[in-house]
Parts: sequence; structure tokens; C-alpha cells
Amino acid sequence: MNILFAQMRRDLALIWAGRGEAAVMLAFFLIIITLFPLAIGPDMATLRPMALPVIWIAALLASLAGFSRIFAEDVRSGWVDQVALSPLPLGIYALSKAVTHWLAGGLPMLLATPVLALMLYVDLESLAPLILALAIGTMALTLLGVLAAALGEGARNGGSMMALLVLPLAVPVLIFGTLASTPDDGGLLSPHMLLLMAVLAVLLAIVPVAAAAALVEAETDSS
Amino acid sequence: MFDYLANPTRFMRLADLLIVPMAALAALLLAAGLYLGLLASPPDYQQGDTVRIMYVHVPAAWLTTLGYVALGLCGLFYIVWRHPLADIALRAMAPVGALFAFLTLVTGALWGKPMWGAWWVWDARLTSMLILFFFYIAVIALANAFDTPERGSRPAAILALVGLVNVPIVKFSVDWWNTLHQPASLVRSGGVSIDPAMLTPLLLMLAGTHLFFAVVVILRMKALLAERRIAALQLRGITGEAG
Repeated sequence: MNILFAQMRRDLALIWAGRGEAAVMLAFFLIIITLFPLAIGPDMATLRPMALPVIWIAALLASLAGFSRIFAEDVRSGWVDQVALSPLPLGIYALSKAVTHWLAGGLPMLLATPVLALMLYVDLESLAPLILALAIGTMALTLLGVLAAALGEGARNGGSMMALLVLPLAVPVLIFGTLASTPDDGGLLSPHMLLLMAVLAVLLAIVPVAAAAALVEAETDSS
Repeated sequence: MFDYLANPTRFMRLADLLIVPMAALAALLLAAGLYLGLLASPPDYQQGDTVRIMYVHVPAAWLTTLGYVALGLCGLFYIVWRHPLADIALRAMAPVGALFAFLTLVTGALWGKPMWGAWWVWDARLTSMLILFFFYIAVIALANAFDTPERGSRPAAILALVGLVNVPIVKFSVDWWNTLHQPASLVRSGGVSIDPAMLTPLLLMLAGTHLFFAVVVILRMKALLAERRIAALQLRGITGEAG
């Protein structure tokens, strides 16, 4: 347990030291959202029904930007080898990476969402389901990103590979997420919200195992 | 059988033995199926001659699904038992599966235009087939994304295995999404019983395409094995000169 906290403290310190990178992800999120009204037009009547999907797609694309480098530095510096030798299982290490990456990338996006939602004329009462769905959705996306980063570690075209690996598997998150965000879906804990949570639960079970199996290969490859 | 085939040389020998009769049988089945399907079978009373697209479309769709399951199983065999042929089979199968997925989409579009009035409909079945196609592409890309080709084997196997769990969830979510947004009025229910005159060519085509798939995969496996052998020999030649 102590090793896990040490690992997470280290990652958070590293993220804080390089906080410009996390800020770029947030800026990316803001810019994508700004682009939509510019392309569609400033009309309130057309923008309002598109607001929730636009926010979701922006969150999806902005998350993708940060994934390819999740393990890169750790593999290069030999940190993953040290983890493999330590009592900390590689799966738990991958999970801790997901947590810290979400804290650095997902959480700021979540905090920025209310302002952006208002800019896209989202009703105030649909803000709560949107934030909750987006919180669960970005966690699920981060887990998919950790899996993709572990699988594609050392690949030639890391960035585009992330999109190719994550997007087909992210379909359930997008579908249930956008459905759960709509306010007239039957309260905060609507069936779609529960399905979204179920997707997160499945990913929580699969991703550590699969990412650990992929990291073993990346680690032996680097040494 | 399983251990027996672990030796590539033995596999090669068995493949050489089987490939000619299999290819001949596939050709025979496909020829009979195409003749019965395209020429001898009656046109549909509603769809007319466009129904003949079915004889290519349905087998291709079946193979896409089958190939995806086979891909996941290859991944499992490779990760758990490190079976040397599982990786070769995975690499041999993925592009063929992707091609059949593409064929399903194209024949579906050609069928959809006269029947539904549109080349593409955002129907659950079409959409999940499209996503399955993307998934095939992802497996192929990941297997070939590394500087040393063998380095991509394990990630591709893991992805294929994860897909075996995750793609059904994708399918479920797409079905869910579609049933909420539009009634399933466009998809003809499978409850319509097929006349024997149409069923016979369809079954022939199904058997023929599956055999064709097996023949192509075995040929590709032989080619990949030969490729590895050449690479190994070249490597030996280079180190031999150096030492």
C-alpha cells in the first residue's frame, strides 16, 4: 500500500512539475468546443440541441491527446523495470497511472465544463447529469487510454495509434454518456447512467490485467 | 493435435497435404452456389433480382463475425500457451477478416440503395459492422506498428482478446442507441422463412466462402512462415559474416 502511495505521489509530483502539458490538454478541450459554434453558426436554436454531443466529442478528442505518453517516460528511464521488480503488481501500477492521469487531465476538463456548457446554452438543470456522466465517462476513457498506451508503447506512430485503439472501444462510453447527460432521462441515476457505470466497472476489471500483460512486453523490450 | 502442430515444419507438411483438396472443394462449392444463386434461383417477389446480393452479403457477414471470434481465440492461445502458430494465424487472419468486413459493408450499401433508398443507414447492424471493421484495422495496425515485427505479436494478441470481451458490449450499446432513436422498421426480420430454392445456393455459398477463408488463411500462414524463415536465414548470414 505504501508503495502504491509513493508511486502516486511521484506521478503527481511529476505532473505538477510539468503542468504545462496538462494545461495543453485543457486548452485543446476549450478550442474544440469553440470550433463548433464557429462552424455551425452562433444561432441559439441550432446550438442548444448540439451542446451535449459537442462537449462529449470534445472530451473524447482532448483525452486522446494525452494518452500516448502515459508510459513513455517510465519505460525509457527504466522505472517500469523497477516496478516489475518491486512488490507493486504491474496491474495496480497501471491503475495508479490511470488515477493520476485522470486527476491531471479529466478533472480540469470537468471543472471547465459548467462554463463551457453555459456558453453552449445548456440548461442549468441538465448540468448535474452532464457533470456526473462526464466524470464517469472520462474515467472510463482514461482506463481505455491506459490500455492503449500500454499496448502501443514503443510503437512507431504513437499518437494516431492511440486514436485507432481507443475510439472503436469508446463507442459504449460515448453512447451511454450522451444519453445519460440529457436531463429528461429520468433523474440523475437514470438507466443510462447505470449502464455507463457498468461499462466503467467492466473496464476496471479488464484494463489492469491487460495493461500489465502488455507492459511486461514493453519492459523486456526496453532492456 | 495441438502440440503436434506447434512445430511449423509439421504444420507446413499438413497444410501442403490439405490445401489442394480444400481449394478444389471451395471452388466447386462457390461455382455451384454462384450458378444456383445468380442464375438458377427465382427472383424475390418483393425485391426482384436485387435479392441475389444476399448470396455474397450473408456469407461475408458471417465470416466477419467468425473471423473476429477466431482472432480472439488466436490471441488467447498466443498469450496463454505461447503457441507459435497462433501469432502467425492471427496475422494471417486479420487482413482477410477486414476484407470480408469491407465486402459486407460494400454489398450492404449496394443492396441498401435500391431497397431503402440510401447507400447508408445508421442502423444498429450496419454501425456495429462498421465498428468491427475499425477494430480489425486496429489489430492489423498494432501488429505491424513496431520496428521488430515480432514485438507487435503480444499487443495484438491482447487487443484481440480484449476485443472478444469488449466488442459485444459495443454491439449491445449500438443496438441500444438505435432502438431509442428510430424504430427498427428498416431491417427485415429474419423470421421470414427462406424458400428451398434460395436456401440451397445460400448454404452452398456459406460453405464455399468458409472453405475459401480457410484456404486463404493457410496460404497466408505459409507465406508468413516462409518470410520469417528468410529473415532468420538472412540474420544468420549477417552475423556469420561479422563473426
